[in-house]
Amino acid sequence: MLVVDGVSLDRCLRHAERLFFESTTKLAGVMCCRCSPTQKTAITQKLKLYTNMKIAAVGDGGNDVGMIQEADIGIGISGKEGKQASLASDYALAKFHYISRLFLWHGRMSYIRTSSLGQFVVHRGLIVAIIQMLFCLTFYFCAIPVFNSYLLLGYTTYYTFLPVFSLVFDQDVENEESVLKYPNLYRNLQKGRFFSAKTILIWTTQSLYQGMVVIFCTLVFFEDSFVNIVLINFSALICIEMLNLYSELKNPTRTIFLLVLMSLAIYASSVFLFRDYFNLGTISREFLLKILAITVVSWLPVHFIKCCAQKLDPSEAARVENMGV
Amino acid sequence: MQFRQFYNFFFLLICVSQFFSILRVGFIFTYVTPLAFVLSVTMVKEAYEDCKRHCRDSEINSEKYGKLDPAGRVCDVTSANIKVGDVVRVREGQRVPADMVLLYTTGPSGSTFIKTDQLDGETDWKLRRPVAKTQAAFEAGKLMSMNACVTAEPPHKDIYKFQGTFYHTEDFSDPVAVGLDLGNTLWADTVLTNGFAVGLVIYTGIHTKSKMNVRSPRSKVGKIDQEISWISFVLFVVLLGLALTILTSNGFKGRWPLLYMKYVLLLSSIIPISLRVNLDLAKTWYSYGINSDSAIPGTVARNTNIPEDLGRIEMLLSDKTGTLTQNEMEFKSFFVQNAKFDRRESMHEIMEALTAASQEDSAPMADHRKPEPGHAKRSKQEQIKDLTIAMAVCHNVTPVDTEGKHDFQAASPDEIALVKFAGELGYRLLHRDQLKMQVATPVSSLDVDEYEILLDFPFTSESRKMGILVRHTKTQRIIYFMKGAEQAVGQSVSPEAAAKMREGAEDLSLEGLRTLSFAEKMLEPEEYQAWREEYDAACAAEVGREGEKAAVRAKLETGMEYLGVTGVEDKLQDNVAKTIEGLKQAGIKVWMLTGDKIETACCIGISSGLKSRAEKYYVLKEVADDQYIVENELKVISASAFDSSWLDRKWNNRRAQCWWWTE
Repeated sequence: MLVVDGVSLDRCLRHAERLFFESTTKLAGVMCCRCSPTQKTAITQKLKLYTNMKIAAVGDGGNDVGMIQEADIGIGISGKEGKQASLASDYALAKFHYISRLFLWHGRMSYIRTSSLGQFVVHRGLIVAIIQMLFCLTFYFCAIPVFNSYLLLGYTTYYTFLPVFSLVFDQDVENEESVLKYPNLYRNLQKGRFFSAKTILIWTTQSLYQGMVVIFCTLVFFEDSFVNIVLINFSALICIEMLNLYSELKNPTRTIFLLVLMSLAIYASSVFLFRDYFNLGTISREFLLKILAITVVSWLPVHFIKCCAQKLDPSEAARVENMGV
Repeated sequence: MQFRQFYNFFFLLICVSQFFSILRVGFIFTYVTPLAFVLSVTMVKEAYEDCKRHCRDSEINSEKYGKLDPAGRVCDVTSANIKVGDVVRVREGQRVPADMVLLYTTGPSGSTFIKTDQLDGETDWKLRRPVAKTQAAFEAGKLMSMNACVTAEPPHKDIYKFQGTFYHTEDFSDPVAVGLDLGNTLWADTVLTNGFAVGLVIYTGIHTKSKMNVRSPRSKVGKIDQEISWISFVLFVVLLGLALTILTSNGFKGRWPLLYMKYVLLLSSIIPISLRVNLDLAKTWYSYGINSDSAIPGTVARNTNIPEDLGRIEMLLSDKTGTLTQNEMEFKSFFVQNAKFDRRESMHEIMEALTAASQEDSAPMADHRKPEPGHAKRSKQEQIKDLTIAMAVCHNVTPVDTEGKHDFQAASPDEIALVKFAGELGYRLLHRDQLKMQVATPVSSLDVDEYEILLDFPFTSESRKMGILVRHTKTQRIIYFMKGAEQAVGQSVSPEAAAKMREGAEDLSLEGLRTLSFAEKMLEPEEYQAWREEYDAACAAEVGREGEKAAVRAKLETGMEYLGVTGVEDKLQDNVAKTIEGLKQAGIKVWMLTGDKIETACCIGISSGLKSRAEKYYVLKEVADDQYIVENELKVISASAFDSSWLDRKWNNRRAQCWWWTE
């Protein structure tokens, strides 16, 4: 733990700025005394410049405003020295110890949920593009869309929006108690385990595999009517996405289940609404079986692999949860 | 954020392309609807914010003030119509609409208090005085018929500096000049606390101190948003690549550029236009969750853009006072001569000494008329008494009675703690205005000492000391009290006294107390007169006024007598140690940046758990101003981070003063 006074700090920064931050960030902590507001701001700026760390700053007075505005996250305590700091901040707190709940619970959940949501949405678009591309390649390079425009529009909005967005309500740990009790859970986030090149690659591979299964199954099941294929394809796609969502959810709740059912119902009724276009008369048990087959072939292996991976190398959160049980 | 615009533009292009039948690959609405949706969500959000801003602006702009017309009548004026040179009346509790020079106030003793918390965040009330000539003229009803003018310096950002001159003439002869300073001003966005005030507007709009200090907030972008933007960009490249793959397999037949564009359009679903909407909604939801979390009441997410970043913090920079500590000061102990007096343990002893000393003469400096450096040693009793009086007199505290409760108003909570402690000892501060102070004495409840305030140097963070020149009314003794950081006060006392002072301050700091050192000096009336004339001349100087004033002040602050050192405890906030331990476990480094001195900071570091038991302090202070030494020091620090055995070795380089500190 380094303790440094304002004058020495100034000299360190003047003579060996880079060295100062490189060596001090290895230490457990640093205390800068006799620090002017300008120095506080400068330290924040330089730390960002040299260390590439995510920096939060917390303060309560007018002398902390610069530091609060400069940091990645500025936190103001609404204290006795007036409201200036809390007005300049990104998050205004009433007490210092709220910070642990803000970081360890809210921050952690927001980050995990957004990672999950963002990647799922990217995957959702990717899989359609892959299907479209394979379709073009297979069917003599014709530039026609596989899916009807209403379906494509509905695919990202009314058919899947609510269930996918419900990723935002998902929790990997039962409640905030366990996070506050095991702050170690936070460390994985700093390393970016939830949103990294690795996770993106996994999602891309999954999209590629599932898109390929869908299009090749279509070739196998090729029937006389093109519209029929579209319907089989698209229905399978919706089902696959719902099941993917199930794999992605850490803690599927009844509400999410209901949302999924609701979306499926919306889809079914919309198909029924356009029954003339889809030629619903031809729907038979065989038709439903084909959808089921595509879905199972494309989803089950993926899910199986994910389950195995989770069993073999459980996440920290899962371990904590098991410990609790 | 540029990516956001880039994608909106990309989708706009796609939409437009669909109006050309040659490029059409599907129904137009498939492409138009999502874009329209995304844009309308953004528009509604921005329109809502603009509306709110408009309402707020028009409310402020239409606030009514009284304006004095040339005939001296008061007419209404909205704050939007106030111009430089207007004479404006502001009522109690009203926001001051522009920067003004105070001409008249109804406040007691011809001065008024303003609240400046909206301007500089300080919650104490500030004293403001009107120009003496205009105060008198207003009372005689002749303010608007005066032959006077005010010149002010060009507008600048510093809210604590103002230099202006008031010129006044009775009969068109040579005008008389009076210097104006910060004490004569009313800055915009401050609030008047009592009566009403009349001021001459000198700066308006963007030239006001308040507006000049508005920094446009840096818009912060979350790391995850940058990452997602990056992925979106990669997807765009992938899109172009995939389209090219199809085209290549096809063998560039026919009108292939057209075909290529069609493929791009077909595959455009790879770019998730709904992603932004999804993520923005999610952020709103997280922020709502933070605002409404009942376990952390009062939390406000002012910036809804970055909740995800809360989840990947690697370092926390923390202020000390008011953040880790409560900024609620409690008087603990003081040092006089070589003895320490604790509030809990030696209260009886203090009281005895005090009663004995004040029975004879309750005024300060009773034992000798004029102190000389290194002169005969004063009695401990007298020093305790003088220190107590200094605590009761040397401050900028104003007693206020709110709803029958006696309380104090001050910029620094340390001062309030000192005044309260002096009150406990019998020297109760009863009243204070611009000109005088009344302090009860422990002798009897009827005995009240009055001090005339001759001059007051408020505390500034640069000088780190404050001084007050008072005249004890009964004995007519003129005494200058000073208090501040021991380095600052130490310059005004003898070297031996300064060493003693430092010793005392260090001793108290080791207990984690905030220390203030006190010194006093008595002036002969003639001496005061001579000095005062010099000071007044400096105050009216046209050029280099500040420098002159400081030089004259320094003359006063020599050969002072050391009184004692006081220690005030700053209590820790609730659960600080537990929180910091949790953060450290979570892999977050905690740094403390404070204006306090090393010793105090070290104590708080231990009690708050910033420094764990296994760690040691490496103190780097007064390091030489030399590149080689600085680099050497840093290399040593850097090495110690890995090699803990190093800590046990003794560091012998005395070029820089450093030492190890263990618990």
